[in-house]
Amino acid sequence: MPNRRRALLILFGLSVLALFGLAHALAVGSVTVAPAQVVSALLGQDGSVSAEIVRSLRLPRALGGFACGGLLALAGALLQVLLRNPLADPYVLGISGGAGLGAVAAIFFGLGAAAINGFAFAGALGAMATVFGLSHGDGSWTQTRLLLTGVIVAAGCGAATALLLSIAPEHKLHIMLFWLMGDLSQTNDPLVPLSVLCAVLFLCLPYARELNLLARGSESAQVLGVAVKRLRLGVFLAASVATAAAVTHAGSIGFIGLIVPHLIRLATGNDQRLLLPASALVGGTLLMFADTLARTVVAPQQLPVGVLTALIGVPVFLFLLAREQGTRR
Amino acid sequence: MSAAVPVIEARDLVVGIGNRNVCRDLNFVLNAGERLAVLGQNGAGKSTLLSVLAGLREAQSGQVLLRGATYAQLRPRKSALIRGWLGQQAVDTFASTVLDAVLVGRHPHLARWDWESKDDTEIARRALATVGMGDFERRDLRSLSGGERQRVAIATLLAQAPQLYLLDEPTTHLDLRHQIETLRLFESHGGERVASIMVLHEPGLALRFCSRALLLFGDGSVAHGTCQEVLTSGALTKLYGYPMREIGDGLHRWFIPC
Repeated sequence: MPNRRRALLILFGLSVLALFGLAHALAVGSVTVAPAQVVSALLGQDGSVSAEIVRSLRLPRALGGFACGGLLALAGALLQVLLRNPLADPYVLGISGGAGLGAVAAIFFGLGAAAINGFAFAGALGAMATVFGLSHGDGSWTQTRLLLTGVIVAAGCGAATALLLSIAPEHKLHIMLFWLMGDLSQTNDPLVPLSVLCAVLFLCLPYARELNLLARGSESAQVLGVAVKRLRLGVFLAASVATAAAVTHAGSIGFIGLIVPHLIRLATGNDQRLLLPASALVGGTLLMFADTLARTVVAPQQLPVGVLTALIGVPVFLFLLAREQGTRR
Repeated sequence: MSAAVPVIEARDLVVGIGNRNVCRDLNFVLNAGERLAVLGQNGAGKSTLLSVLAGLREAQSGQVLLRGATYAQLRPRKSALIRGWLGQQAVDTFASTVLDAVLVGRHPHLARWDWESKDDTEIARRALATVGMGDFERRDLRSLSGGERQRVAIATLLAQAPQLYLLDEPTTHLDLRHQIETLRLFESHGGERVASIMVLHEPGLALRFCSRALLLFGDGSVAHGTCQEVLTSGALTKLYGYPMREIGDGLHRWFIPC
């Protein structure tokens, strides 16, 4: 278990890393902007075209990416504690699938951007409620039942989405596909996901030590003084809102919620007091970096960032799954 | 909280699983320094009764009072300072060192923003040494054997330092030496200030380490009294549904299946 000083030191280091990630995201792209010019653009003293690109295109996109990555990693970390399952993740549990179905339905019916977001949000919450409601059963969430329900719900959402895609008119298809693959290019105001990220993190941090106990088993947590029922409900709501906010903002981006908490757990141990804020920072930095890659690798063509994270995520997930079986006797 | 208030009291407790009765109108009072053994067949509801007493499960009716207050009145944290519970083997999903696992026992003693202090670590280390696991503190929980894992769970309980120990089969997975050492530990630890209720499968151990016994017959009827009164070959024959015979060497009495 790290002590408070070490935890703060690690978080400080990760914040510096996040700042570097942000600087990188602002500087590179189809127009490379020198570091000094990035700074002056941010301070608003520069009226040139590249300064305008930095301020009104790259900055909101990078901040939005950071917020979504942070939210997804945080949601993953919370779900892993809630379900006592290191493989839990908003994407695996079908939540992103629900959001995708909601968004595609909204696009199909020709609704505006606000409605697309609203439908996506409702879809995420609906999928989450379905998965948790169906696998709750006897009062505890059994691992296999939950993962299976998640997989089935995801498959159902996928089928419904495919149906809509196949009957949708040509001109709507592109928007739908890009939304589904996870995309930060038509970024809305990053203020919403950023404030949700801060709110969820600051609501969870006071309960971090109780979450440590919950991760070891709900009965022993109850006996050691944790109000388990209330805490679980709170964690469930926090993870739902975090996921829904991220997915609504950026479409379905997979595996950040799985990989990031896992890596941090490997490096620093499973203390939620450090794991939660560190996940938010690393998840944010990672997605911001992946998005920068997505728009620079084959520039001027842009890749959907969800494809990139999935390409990294799938082998990592499979590796973890194989290793997990190996450690169980 | 004066010492005169019993550590735990059951009032007209009715406990059942499904439509099976565990106990009807159970009344008992346990004071500091007393140890109560709970015996019964598999499925008689020993663990269920213990989790009701631990506040993990609702009774069908009746009350459980810890130092005169119900669990609802105490709230989780205060009750964690009074009673500790040793469950049957938990599944460890995440990696954790043995020391970290024992440190969670300090949770009820810490304020919301506190981190575990040097004193807490010291208490955890002492608890580990007490169960003979002092050299294991850096080991991963998931690499331990069943008996070692059980001793770590007991160390966590010792670090919690409650006034009442609720022990669900504390001797599971333990070899004979560690069975005796563990029960002796709860006999001597805290001395006259703590009380224990333990589910046991060995009447001889109950006779040796507990002052009182509660037999659950599985149909809602119980027998409750001092071990000397309650633990007889006749009662145990009825309890286990198998003929039991008493043998003794003048120092200890044991019961063996015929």
